[in-house]
Amino acid sequence: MGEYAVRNTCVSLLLRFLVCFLGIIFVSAVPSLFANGFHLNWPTYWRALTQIVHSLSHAPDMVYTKNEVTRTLAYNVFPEYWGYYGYSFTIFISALVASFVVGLLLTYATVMQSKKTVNVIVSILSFLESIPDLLIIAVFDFVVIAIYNQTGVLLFNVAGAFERTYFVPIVILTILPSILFFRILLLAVLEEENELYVDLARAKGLKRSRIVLVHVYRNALITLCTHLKPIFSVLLSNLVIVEYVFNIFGITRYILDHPQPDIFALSILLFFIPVYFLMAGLRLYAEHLTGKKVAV
Amino acid sequence: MMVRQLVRKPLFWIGFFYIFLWLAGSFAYLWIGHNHIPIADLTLNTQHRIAARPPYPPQQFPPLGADDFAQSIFIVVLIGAKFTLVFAILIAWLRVVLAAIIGVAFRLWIPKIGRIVLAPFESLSYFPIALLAYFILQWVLFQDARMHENHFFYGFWARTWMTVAVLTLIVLPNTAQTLYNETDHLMQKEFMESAKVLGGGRWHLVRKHLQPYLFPRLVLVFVREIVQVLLLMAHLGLFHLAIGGILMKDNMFSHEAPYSLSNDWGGLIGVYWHFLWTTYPYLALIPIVLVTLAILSVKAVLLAVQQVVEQDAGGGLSKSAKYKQRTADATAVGNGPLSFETVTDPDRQAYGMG
Repeated sequence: MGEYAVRNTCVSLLLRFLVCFLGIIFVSAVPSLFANGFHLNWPTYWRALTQIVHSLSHAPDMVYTKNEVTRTLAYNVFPEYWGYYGYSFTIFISALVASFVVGLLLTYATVMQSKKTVNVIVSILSFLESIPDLLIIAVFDFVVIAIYNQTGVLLFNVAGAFERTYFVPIVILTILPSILFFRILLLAVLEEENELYVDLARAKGLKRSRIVLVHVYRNALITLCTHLKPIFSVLLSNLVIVEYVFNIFGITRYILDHPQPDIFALSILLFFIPVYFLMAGLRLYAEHLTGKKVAV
Repeated sequence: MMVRQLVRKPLFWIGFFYIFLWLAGSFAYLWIGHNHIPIADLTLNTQHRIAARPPYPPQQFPPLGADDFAQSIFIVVLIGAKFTLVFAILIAWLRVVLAAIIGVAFRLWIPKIGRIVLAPFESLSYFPIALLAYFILQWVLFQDARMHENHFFYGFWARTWMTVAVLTLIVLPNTAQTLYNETDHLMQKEFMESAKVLGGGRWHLVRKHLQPYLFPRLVLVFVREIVQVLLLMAHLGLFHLAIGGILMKDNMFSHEAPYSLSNDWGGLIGVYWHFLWTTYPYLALIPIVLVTLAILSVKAVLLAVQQVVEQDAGGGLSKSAKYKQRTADATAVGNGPLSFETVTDPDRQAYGMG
């Protein structure tokens, strides 16, 4: 791929970033459009929009307001906010990385099996991936409580607390995205298996594990890049549910406790920016590695 | 044509029957039982003292037990089935039809403006949709009644149609974008070029050339959207937002508890969630399991449709192309690198879809 093409991709990536950035600001103000009843309330929308822009441009002085009996009090958002955000983001990124690794490993283990087994696994996976996160969480809660009732041993604190736990939320968040990663990678690998270069590599006497791990995985990365965004969406909505159900002191709690358009916009942006650049970087890397283009 | 092939798939029948039985039962109960909910009695012992009171486990009040308003859970979910399934299907249908109209019209009539209009809405995929929908709907469906002594400002059906509108519109730009891309990809085919050169107008292109390719895709997207809507309804239910709204009422223990007005399964998830912390935690699992089974049945139908579409695309579809399409269908991307070609297009291999 030429240098010109790379620069072109970078420009289009940046442009999309800016458009999305603005889009997030406009969409975060939408709930204000329906303030005080279900009709389009343009003045409140406009106010919300200016509030978001003002707060973002003066981010260090951002405040949230609380209505006391006689007066309205304003509190600083920062630095308290970083605690909530950092916690949620840590869980989020850990789950993303963990599910990617799990997906890679499961794919490798599966590809090594016979064709028949692989086909069975593919069809099971398409059902597994659509299991709602709520079922997983509820069953988990149910089992923990049942064990507690039977034996008196509380395996995990299921109803949240001020302390921030990492293990359980990360494990629960990892389950669904790993199934998605697994399925997409598996299909991508199976798709690549029919390419000529695999035959060539086999003819040259390369070991199957090497073909899969090095050559096929490299090309499957391109397909994966196309599907990263939906995985990200699934993970994000799962994060909200897990935080809400376990009553975790994370970003969801903060947004729900302080329902202000600027805090909402800020939180979405703080997830969007790192994730977008992560995906963009991965995409450039994949294109550099294979010389193919990622379909967007 | 598609239907005739579909009825030969056992997967289709499994999924279809599950949904159909619930719907038929639910509507039958509306006509026969007028949605009357049986109330469980207190259990008295020999001294006429109260030995037990609802909620009851399934063994005590068959078939599914009674909730903390002493209502028979089976009848509650039976009544809720029509609200869940009909509105999930309706919302998915609205999403697909409107998105198809927007996507195709934008691509054919105003391609440049259309692209610019749709671009900022890509940001929607970075929002947790449940949270966004919650902020938009929470006043209408929950806060309103909570602040005005359990009295909603809008009527039941007004609230319901608002919910339908919001749940439809909230992802509409994304679905429209997907179909815009799909149309764009079809428009670049050689036969489209020929049709244009031979003097085919836009309407002609839509009816004669786009429609046969786009329709099977739309069916797929439609079924996939049903799953998405069911998931969204489940998530919103957890936040105490249900179709028709949720009231906070005093239950058997004179505790304030959520009470769903439509009993849709998504809302029931939120209403029954607190059973997890009671003596009968499995009561909380009932609506979740029902939603899960509904999703899996829709998924079964989806797989059957997918098989038919793959067959329709021709036996010539290479194995790798099949996998590629399935990867694309796995997530909601929709703009699979290969939609319907029987042979790989070398141009698109090189430049991607863009």
